[in-house]
Amino acid sequence: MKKDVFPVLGVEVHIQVKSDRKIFCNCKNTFGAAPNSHICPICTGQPGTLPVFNRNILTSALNLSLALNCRTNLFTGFDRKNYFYPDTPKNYQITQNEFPIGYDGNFFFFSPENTYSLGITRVHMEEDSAKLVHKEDSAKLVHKEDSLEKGSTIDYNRSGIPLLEVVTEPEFHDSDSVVYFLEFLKRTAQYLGISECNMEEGSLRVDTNISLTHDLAILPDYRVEIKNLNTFSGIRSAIEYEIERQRVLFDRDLVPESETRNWDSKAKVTRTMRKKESFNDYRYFPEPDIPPILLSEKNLFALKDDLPLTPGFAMNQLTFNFRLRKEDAYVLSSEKAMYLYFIEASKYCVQYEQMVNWITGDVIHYLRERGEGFEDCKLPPKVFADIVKRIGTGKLTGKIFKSILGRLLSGEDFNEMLENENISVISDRDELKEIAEKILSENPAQVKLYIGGKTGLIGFFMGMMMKVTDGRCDPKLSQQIFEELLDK
Amino acid sequence: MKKLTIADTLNSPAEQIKNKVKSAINNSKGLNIFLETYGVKPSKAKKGRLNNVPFSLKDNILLEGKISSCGSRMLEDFVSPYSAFVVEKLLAAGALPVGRTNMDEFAMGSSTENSAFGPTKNPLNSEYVPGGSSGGAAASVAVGSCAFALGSDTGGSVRQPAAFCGLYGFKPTYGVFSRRGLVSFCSSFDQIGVIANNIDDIITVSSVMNEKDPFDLTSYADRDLQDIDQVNYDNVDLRGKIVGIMSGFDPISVSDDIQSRYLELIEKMSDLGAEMVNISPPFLENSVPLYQILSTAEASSNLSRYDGIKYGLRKEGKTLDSMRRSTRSFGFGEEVKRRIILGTYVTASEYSEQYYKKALKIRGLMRKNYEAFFSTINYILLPTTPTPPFRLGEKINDPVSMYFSDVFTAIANILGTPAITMPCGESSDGLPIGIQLMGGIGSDLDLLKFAGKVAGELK
Repeated sequence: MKKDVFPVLGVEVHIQVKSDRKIFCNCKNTFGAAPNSHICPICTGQPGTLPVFNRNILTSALNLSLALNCRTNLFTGFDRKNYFYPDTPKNYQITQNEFPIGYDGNFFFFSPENTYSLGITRVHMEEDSAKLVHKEDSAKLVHKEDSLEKGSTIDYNRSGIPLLEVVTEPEFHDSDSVVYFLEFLKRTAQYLGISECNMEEGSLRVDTNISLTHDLAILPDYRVEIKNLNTFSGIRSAIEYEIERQRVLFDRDLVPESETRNWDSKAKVTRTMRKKESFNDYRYFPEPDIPPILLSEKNLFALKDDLPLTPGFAMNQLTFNFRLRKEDAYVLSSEKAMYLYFIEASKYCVQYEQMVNWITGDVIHYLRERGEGFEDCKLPPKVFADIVKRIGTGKLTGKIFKSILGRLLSGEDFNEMLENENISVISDRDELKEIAEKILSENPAQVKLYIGGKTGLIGFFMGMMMKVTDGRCDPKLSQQIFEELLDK
Repeated sequence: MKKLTIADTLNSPAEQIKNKVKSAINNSKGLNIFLETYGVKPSKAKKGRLNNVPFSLKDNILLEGKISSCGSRMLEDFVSPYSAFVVEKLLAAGALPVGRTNMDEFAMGSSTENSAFGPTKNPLNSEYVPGGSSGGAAASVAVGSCAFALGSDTGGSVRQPAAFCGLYGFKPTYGVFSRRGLVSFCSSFDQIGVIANNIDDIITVSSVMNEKDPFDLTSYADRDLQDIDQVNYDNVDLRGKIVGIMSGFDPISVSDDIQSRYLELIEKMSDLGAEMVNISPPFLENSVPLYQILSTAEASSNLSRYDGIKYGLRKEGKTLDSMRRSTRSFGFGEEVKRRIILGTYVTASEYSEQYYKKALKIRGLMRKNYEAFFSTINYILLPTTPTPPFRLGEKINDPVSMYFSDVFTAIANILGTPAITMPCGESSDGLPIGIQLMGGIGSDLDLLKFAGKVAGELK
């Protein structure tokens, strides 16, 4: 009988930090500018230049590290990682090896159904490399270096963009939890204002290590690294493909080789990029051009106290304090501004679930259509809360709210509408009775049938009522009136 | 050879300075001092403290728009995209760059024989080396083509050639002069240094060049140095100063001439009231191997950027790898390659613990040790070199003996302390000998004043 095999996965994530300037020079940190338009002697590795650490990055790094519950190295600094590659202008990368800013973390993250806890190996700062632009389709090339002949160019705009690298413990066992982790890490970076984490623009980049084991207590002695993962769905497919590929080898009593593989998103397969024999000795040593960074415990505590809101906190608050369902909380907290909109509205209205339904339904839908977000929503949370309250007490119908939502989002005043337009529910008994009597007198045949026992016709009368009042009639009261009149 | 000083040039008409520089350069062409001269254009306007004072630049210190080749084929045509911070300071003070001087390739050497553009000869005797790696810099001052020269000192590369050419050479505390625009060899040891005909000139130039450079995180401001104008040596006293000295030398490795001059100076200083105490500077015997391990380690990384891709030499190849290989094989000289290989070896993950990391630990220990030392003594007096100038070709095929030239100088780089060499008599062959004073971290001005006092007494 074949023994069971279990996948073991770890993830390395690179996050480009949103900052005005690059990490070691004064060049602008931008995406999509004309090639080599944001470069200087420092980020192109000219002789005699020295890195000048942009300390703003330190705050982002500490915040992320704290949000992942990492321990902080109060004595921290940079190291050189030496390797020859054309996208690395100095042929070494300035990174953190010995004293990463954060280590030994424990990250709590959520899926719509579950809560997870994950070991974080380290969080560290480093510089991004330049971007190689191959005229050939680089995915087709097994050895990227061959492409020089075919004409490759280097765009140094990316060289020196600040990166935060997060390395997880090999604690994942399936693709779902990896994707949930990435989604939540992305939210965390967005909440903290560290990065937009836009995979298409490369501001979130993921490598994953995959191996299989018969016994989860024993870590496998090989691992396959997969690079070039550009979308969450690609990550999922690549992991699933790779687990299956390795499982087939295991079934034949073969052990997969340690290697780096590339995900081919078109063919939906992983392919060997380089074998581990050509293992690189990075010859790490402390970066002599940047003095060590000493953090005081006092500053660290202050930073902890001032730690910006995290999505983990938001989830806990929504599920514990507001008693929302996990799925609702998960959707509501997917964007910081949306979550904050709810929190503001919740000060004026306790119908939390209804508010969540509106926010995550029609409101966000209309906002997206307008190309806006909750941060610039023209319907103030307080007014929104008032509307939901009115719907709850029957003073306004959802249908009407929907019909005026577009106008509210373009800035029209709800109270003015309330005054000048017939939008509130008709709940005046005499007014409704008058309309009901008129409907009954105009439909004698149906009245007769109703009295004859076809009580289902109440729906017909209600429909007429809705039509006449443009949907503004108080439905409960209207039905009551019809029943009273017909029962006479 | 008519020497130039700052005082001379400040008091001379511009035209006269120009002619002096020109004729000094022309008369010394055979010594291969300059790789390029810029033509001196004195200005009429008075700019600052170094108005129309000519100076030379070692070929690894950048001047915008001019070539800086580091004595290497690799950068033979490399045009500097910016100027070194200290050069900017000098230009702002009115100083005139006369040209760039020859050097051992990437500052690796002690004789200027490792230049891709041929050796420089010692102006005092052209059969001898001028020292190195700032041999061209020292020679340019010795022949009177400039009042001072900028060199770089990683293990003694300013002090040793200054001694070999009978001049004063100063390496400040690490960080006093910004390294921006100095092509890196060993980042944690490299310091720009000044070679001149007297200590007052060194003080003036240092005062002009010191400033915290926002683009060099290891630089710092030394207010005392910045504020000094004229030193009044009457206020400097040797009495009450404690100077540590070597109690004895290995007679084989340190020449008799050096030992004699050293002992004579000790006696003289003692007569003048300084308290000369026997110490055995700890770790001195370890300093050359330590220096070689740490400097080659950093050099192997610092020099990896020369790959033919972005600037400098490119030898075409069929693949990226072969292009890089032939560029580096052809572009670097033997000594540079030897040190890159050494540095790669000592940092390789298998050997790092044994060499590089051990050396780092010893450096830490040394720094602690000497810090304690300097709390009880004021200065340390050491020979600058173990031998007087040697002949061209004498040591070029014996790298270990060449490396030993740094035995008394590397210690200041390892510790980051300031040190200055002063001319101190001659060898039996009539060649100059230098003696070196070293002070504690940050004591630059104090050290310079003390050395100036001693030098004055020696005259």
